[in-house]
Amino acid sequence: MNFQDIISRLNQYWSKRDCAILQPCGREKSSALFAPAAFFGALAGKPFSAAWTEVCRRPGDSRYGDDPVRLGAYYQYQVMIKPPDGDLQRACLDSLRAVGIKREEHDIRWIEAGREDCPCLDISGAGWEVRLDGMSVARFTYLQRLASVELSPSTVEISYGLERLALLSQKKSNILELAWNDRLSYGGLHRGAEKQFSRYALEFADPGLLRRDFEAHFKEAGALLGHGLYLPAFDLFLKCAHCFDLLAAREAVPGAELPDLGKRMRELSAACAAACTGDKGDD
Amino acid sequence: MINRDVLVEVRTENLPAGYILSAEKQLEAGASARLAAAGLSFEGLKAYGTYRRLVLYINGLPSRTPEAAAHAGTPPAGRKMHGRPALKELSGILPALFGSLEFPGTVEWEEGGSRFARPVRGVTALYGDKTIPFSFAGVRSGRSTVGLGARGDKQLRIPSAEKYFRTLENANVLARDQERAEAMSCALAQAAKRMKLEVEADEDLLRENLYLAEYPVCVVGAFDQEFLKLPAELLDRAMRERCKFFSVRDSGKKRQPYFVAFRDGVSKCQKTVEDGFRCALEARLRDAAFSVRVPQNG
Repeated sequence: MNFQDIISRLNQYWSKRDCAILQPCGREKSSALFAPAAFFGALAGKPFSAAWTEVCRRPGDSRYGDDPVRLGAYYQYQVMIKPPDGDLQRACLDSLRAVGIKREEHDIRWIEAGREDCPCLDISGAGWEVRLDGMSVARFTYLQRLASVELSPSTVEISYGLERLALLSQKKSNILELAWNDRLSYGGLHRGAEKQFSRYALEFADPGLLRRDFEAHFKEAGALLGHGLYLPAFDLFLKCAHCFDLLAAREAVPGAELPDLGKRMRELSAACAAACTGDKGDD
Repeated sequence: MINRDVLVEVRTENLPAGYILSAEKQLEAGASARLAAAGLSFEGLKAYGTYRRLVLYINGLPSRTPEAAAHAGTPPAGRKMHGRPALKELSGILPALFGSLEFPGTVEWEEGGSRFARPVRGVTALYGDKTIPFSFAGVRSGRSTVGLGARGDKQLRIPSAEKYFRTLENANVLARDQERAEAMSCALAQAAKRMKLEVEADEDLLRENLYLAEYPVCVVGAFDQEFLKLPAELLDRAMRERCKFFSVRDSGKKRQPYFVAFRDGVSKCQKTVEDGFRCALEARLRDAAFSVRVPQNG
């Protein structure tokens, strides 16, 4: 199944399960959970069901387009459902069939994977990495804490790696060779950017400039929070997070400094979340 | 009075491999204590677990509690006491027992606010051929269960507690831990013999794999021998911790570019799975190689 059709199928599938189909946000992010729709959707005290595609950037995963299954920028398909409604694990399995992956032809495993691995966000959740024939294709999480806010009930988050799904669906072994549609390949569309952004992330990104940007965004975010403007503050948090990811990828920050930056970002995201949950306004 | 067996199976979304052994121990201890407190005797009991079933099996339970234990006071004159029905006792004991299990982590998923290691999706409870009626975590008990996921979660009707293990086995589920462990050890030994090499049967890794498959099928594959140049600890981490694969060595303990792994299910499309495993392992190994490259700082 072509890459673009996989996205359409997932949209159809989750829209039939009462998910609003959203559009991607225009900010760099390492995971779709950082999209404001996902972040604030999980925090807000009302039911929320949505599904959509996000472009994620992970500078540390940049490989110049040389690695067949790892990219510095990739597409995540995000599903958020709160409260958890029905057997969503089964729904997730059924969605694989919708994109042309037959369950009985593959080894499907649910390997325990908590949501505790994010340096910029105080987060906790119970869940799994969904592995198809050993390859991680999705994460399924019962999110229980997000940016220091306890979520009750939990929010179900399913994040598919669309390229990995497409590899299985198209029975290919290199992402760049995936068919985007009948004419275009994934590599044809993305190879150039993958190569150039890899050089940027791993060789040319200026650590000094990134540090200054980080501090400037961080300061402005704090000021905005003082006025109750947590949405723009979170937007600046995302800019900080991207600086942080680039600094980490460049391996150009002295040892103790990176965890310190991470700690400050956890505090900033928690402050945005607290402002949101405390906001009883007219939104 | 004929003694019958008791079978309780609580089905959940996939349990973390590390939760299961402790849950089995808690079930065994808790069941013994609760049955004794209710005055119910039994011939034996044992708990079993797979990644999505916690099973308690009790052998030889009488259908009623003995008369002496039926009441604390003296029986009213002229009335004969028969003890309480075991079925009724079990209806109270079992949900309380499973509800008392403690796990390193729990989730809350249903309106009733139940918490359990993972969401509960089914409960099978039989005393002999009778259903033991109760609700646990918002799920009603019944006599049906499901077969192996890889074969489409076929619905299975369990005729009686005594026929539980046989019925599951016919649907490719080895519910008894020991049975799976033996199947896996045997498969590893066979793989080693076929390859004329040694398979590292790491105990912890075996235990983890034991709780990642209900019907373990062995998959043997190779990887690019370039990766053998990686530092041993990185190679190990990728193989064992990330992929849960067993490594292979020659008689001189020299590492070989092969892996032995288990898949969950029948051996359909074995080649697809083997290729996938290799691809997944090599992806991890490339990441490991990337992590030890010399960073370009300028």
